[in-house]
Amino acid sequence: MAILTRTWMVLMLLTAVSMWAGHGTGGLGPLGVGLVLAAANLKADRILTQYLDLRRADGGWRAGFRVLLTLLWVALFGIYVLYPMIGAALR
Amino acid sequence: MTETAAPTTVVAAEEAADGEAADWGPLSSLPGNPMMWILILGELAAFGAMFIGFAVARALDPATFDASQGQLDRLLGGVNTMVLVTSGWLVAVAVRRRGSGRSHRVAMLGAMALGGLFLAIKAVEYGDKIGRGLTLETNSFFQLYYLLTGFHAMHVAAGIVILGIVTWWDSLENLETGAAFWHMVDLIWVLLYPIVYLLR
Repeated sequence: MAILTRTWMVLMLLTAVSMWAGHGTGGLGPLGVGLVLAAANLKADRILTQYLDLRRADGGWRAGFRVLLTLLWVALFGIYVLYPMIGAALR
Repeated sequence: MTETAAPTTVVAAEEAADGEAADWGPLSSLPGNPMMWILILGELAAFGAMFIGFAVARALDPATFDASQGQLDRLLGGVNTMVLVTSGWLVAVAVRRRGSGRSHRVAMLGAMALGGLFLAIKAVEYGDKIGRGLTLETNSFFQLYYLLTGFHAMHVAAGIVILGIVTWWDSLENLETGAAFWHMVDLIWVLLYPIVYLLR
């Protein structure tokens, strides 16, 4: 039960970090985008591992979800950082 | 003469009572009913594709997206994240308590109440946007905003119903299956919130 409460506290803290990193006006820049996405990815990983209890599942499932989340992180980070080039190429 | 070890947990006792569990291959080691995990994988793929689509749409028209995103209430979105994360914690606690044979209904009812609070906050947010004339027809940002958050809110509403069902018919497998759906809803929101409300 204690691990669940610790997980909840980490999730709350990471949400506060996201809110702080994403506040204000103007672009976030690569560092801000990376920080907000990293916090979201870490939260997703904690939910899968502790809340959904993937610790109990075969190791391949946890690794597979981690790969999927990392691919999503890389794709979103790339699109948000390189958006002028992507926009120009698609227009 | 061989001795059979007595089941030490509620899980073992229920498995012993039900006989040998069905073989779902690689899905067998996942908590709850494996069919729920097939749904979870499908939902994550669908929302993942929508998140990429949202990011690409923003790359095509960053000025409109950034100005429109500035109309959203980032604080309210963050508060709703905390509400859903706390609800997920209560559901996880309920499953652990059920697994060790302790009372779990108060935690489940608390989780459902927080799910209702999430929807109430979302309704306040929609009311504010619509009151300011920001609707589906405003621009592509608001089309995607209502599509993504509305689709997610429908999952929250369905999740509350599912939590109610498994609180009533509360075998451990039912509870784990309902919890898996609820955590999936939670997981999608922790990805949706930064993409729609924060990234620019």
